[in-house]
Amino acid sequence: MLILLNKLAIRNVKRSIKDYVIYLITVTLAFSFLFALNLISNAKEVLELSDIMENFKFVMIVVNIIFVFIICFLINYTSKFMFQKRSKEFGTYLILGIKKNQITNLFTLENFLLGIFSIILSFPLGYFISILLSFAMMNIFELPTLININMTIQSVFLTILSFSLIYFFVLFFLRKRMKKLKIYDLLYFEKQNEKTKIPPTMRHYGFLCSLILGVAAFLLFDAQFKNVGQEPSMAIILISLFFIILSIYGVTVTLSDFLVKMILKKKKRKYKKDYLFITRTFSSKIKTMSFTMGTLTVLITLTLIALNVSSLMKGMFEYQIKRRAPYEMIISKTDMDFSEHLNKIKENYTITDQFIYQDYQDTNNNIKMKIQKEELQGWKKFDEIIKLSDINTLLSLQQKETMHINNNEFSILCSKEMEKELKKQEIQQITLTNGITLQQKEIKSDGYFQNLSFGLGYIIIVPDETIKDLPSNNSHLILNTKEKTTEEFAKELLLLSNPDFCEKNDYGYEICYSLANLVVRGQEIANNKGMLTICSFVCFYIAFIFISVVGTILAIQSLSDSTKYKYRYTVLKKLGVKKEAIQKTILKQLSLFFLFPIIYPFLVSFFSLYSMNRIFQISLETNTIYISYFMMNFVLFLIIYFIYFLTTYFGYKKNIEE
Amino acid sequence: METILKIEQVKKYYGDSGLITKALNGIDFTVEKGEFVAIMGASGSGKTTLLNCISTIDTVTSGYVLINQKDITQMNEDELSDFRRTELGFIFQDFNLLDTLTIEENIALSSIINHQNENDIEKNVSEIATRLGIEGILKKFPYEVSGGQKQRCACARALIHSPKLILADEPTGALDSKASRMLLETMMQMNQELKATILMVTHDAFSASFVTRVLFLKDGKIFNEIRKGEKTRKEFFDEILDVLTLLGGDVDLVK
Repeated sequence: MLILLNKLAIRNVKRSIKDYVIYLITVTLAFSFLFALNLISNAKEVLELSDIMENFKFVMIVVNIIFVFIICFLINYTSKFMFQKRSKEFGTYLILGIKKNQITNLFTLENFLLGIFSIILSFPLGYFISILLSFAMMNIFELPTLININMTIQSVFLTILSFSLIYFFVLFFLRKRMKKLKIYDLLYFEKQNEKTKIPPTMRHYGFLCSLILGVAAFLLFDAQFKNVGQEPSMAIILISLFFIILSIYGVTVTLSDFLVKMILKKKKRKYKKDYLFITRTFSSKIKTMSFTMGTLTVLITLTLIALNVSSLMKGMFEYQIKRRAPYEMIISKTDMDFSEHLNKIKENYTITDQFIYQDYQDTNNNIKMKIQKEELQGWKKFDEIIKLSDINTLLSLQQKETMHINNNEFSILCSKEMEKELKKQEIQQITLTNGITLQQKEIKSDGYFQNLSFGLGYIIIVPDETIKDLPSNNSHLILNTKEKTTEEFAKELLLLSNPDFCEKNDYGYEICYSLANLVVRGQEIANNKGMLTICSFVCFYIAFIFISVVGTILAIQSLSDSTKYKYRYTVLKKLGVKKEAIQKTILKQLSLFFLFPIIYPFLVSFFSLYSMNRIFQISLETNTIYISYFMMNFVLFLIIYFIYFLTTYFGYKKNIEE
Repeated sequence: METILKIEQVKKYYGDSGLITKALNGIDFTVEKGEFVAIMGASGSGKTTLLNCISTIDTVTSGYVLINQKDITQMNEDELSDFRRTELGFIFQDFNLLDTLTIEENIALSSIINHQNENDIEKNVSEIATRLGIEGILKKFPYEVSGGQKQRCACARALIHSPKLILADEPTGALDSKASRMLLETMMQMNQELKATILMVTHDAFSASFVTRVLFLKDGKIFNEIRKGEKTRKEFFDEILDVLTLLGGDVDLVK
């Protein structure tokens, strides 16, 4: 008997492979991602990227666990879907006198076989994905070389372990579910009415309550990001996240009734076009799968939040690099002779921009005296000044807007932290050591970079002619090259440089400050990549996985509906609705179905980013750049989502028309 | 005569305390060996519920269902499985054939489950298929053959293990009139030549005219019963129509 069942199981898998394609794709993709994740987190080179990579490993373990949960949910969902599809077949088995236990074993075996098949497929696919990801990593984070991914026993083992765990739970729940079912339920599964579990009064108030809960959760979250100095409490953030999730489920469960009530209340609207059909189909759909819909909405929320956090991290990293190395190379010297450096550079690089400027000292210390915050007081003894024409050339090399000041004015260009401090002080007027008095025009941080005034955090910009008689300080060579600079080349250049800038401090010790006279972008990138890059990458990766999961579930659900509820469209056709009109109806219906789970996440992700930006903005290029991050991420999400939508739409149409 | 089926005071209620639907409200009847019995009634009269209760697909609220002297209401799940496998055969309106198996395999399935000898199975399948006129399509899959052929395949599947009782739920429901007629003739042949006991639910007087006895259900109770006896099929058909007129409701009088 067992032999027969095994044979039947293998045969079913083989013959119904067409039905199982969606299942296979889902499971294979899920395990491929998992394997790719394991490969990357265990790759030697990734771990050697930085010292913080031990933390990275820990983060990856957490991500892995979350991911295993999601795959569990996904596979559970797909197997449930396959089970529903074959309920009649199982009913027939029961009728023929096959015992339920044997049928349960049969289906378990089938699922297991498919799982094995998927995981075997997912090893090469996962390897391929990991290579793609390492390409992405290289490009997104400007890593100098491609990460070499090796098939490690450890990652294979981890993937197989996750597989076993996932299948253990999925099959356990599957068997439990099957044990409960009766022949009647199986045979007449399709004819069963959709049941709602929540009483109408609760649904009515539930919608409002859920909305209020969502707003409360946001306020709680927002309060954590009120002040820059205040450390956000992780516990409260988690609590507000929990409330948000609760609110999302609440809204999803109750919205359909609310919608039906709103749309169908007025007769005029009710009988307009195909409103009635669409509203009813949509609301019955959401009602029966409100839990799944809720989960999808939560996943989309997490996707968008993860994308936003990824952008914030990436933005911080980029801003850091921009502040430290806005040009490929900056070489500072006390004299103006850069010929030795230039010769060396020309041997290796094609120079695209070249500019030399000087800065000047002002020992009146107009600005330095005004700084009160201790952590903002630099170690330089004097204010530094740059000519307007020089700063404008520097700015235009960064593709920034140039500055304008009148003959009797000055401006201050400084870091963001300094900008806040200086704006608090009264600095209306300054008198330079050459006796010229100037009025303040503005204090701004846009275009400031660290090397501009190393050791001070700000620089005074004055009209060219007011600089006369001021002692010059250092000369700076600014270079942009066609090729990207590397860490190795920076080391070679360093050998040419004069000994680092040194000075005696108040106690008579000589202190040397290294690298102040040589900034190479390649080196800065190599030195700064670390936690930020990794977090950004991980968030991006999570988002990518989530969106695949969401898209797959929505596609499976709609495609299965298209076969299950084909008769609804047949009825429409018989009632005289034209083919084009039916297609339009399908389009509207699917659009609603896909649109519904992104409304709430859109709001949540925007407002959470808005809150987080209050703390992050200090390390970002501009205070409002988060809006462009949000838009970019949302568009990226929509593009991927839209591909899923299109695939589903055409599949749906095909199924209905068959 | 040997009694194959004995129904005693069978009741089936749906719903909870608020609203109870009495689908079956105390039904008694027996079916003897070799009978071909039809159960007729309007939509909602409880025909299918009754058949489901007899076929162990559904459970009764109270009462007894004895098939071959065994009370199926007292059996546990495993016993019911064995019972269905050995004693019952099924024919459904929508065939319920397995898409992944060929017609031949579909017919043989229950024999394979019953651990029969491979050669015997093959012999039995081809014998039954020849009798029912489907020997030419044995190697095909269900989706490759017509509705009438599918239903005859279902008949063959129900017959192959010589069950005590064959239960048919609107077997002609999905067939056109020509295929219906062929199927009913096949079933008559099964009854007369192979001595199969058949209980068929139908709402169609034409189908019912092929049987030996018709039971009429109304509101969950037996309303009337008529036997064919020595009457011709045409006479029996007219008699059925008369009862249906009395019965009222939305019964299809003529197909």
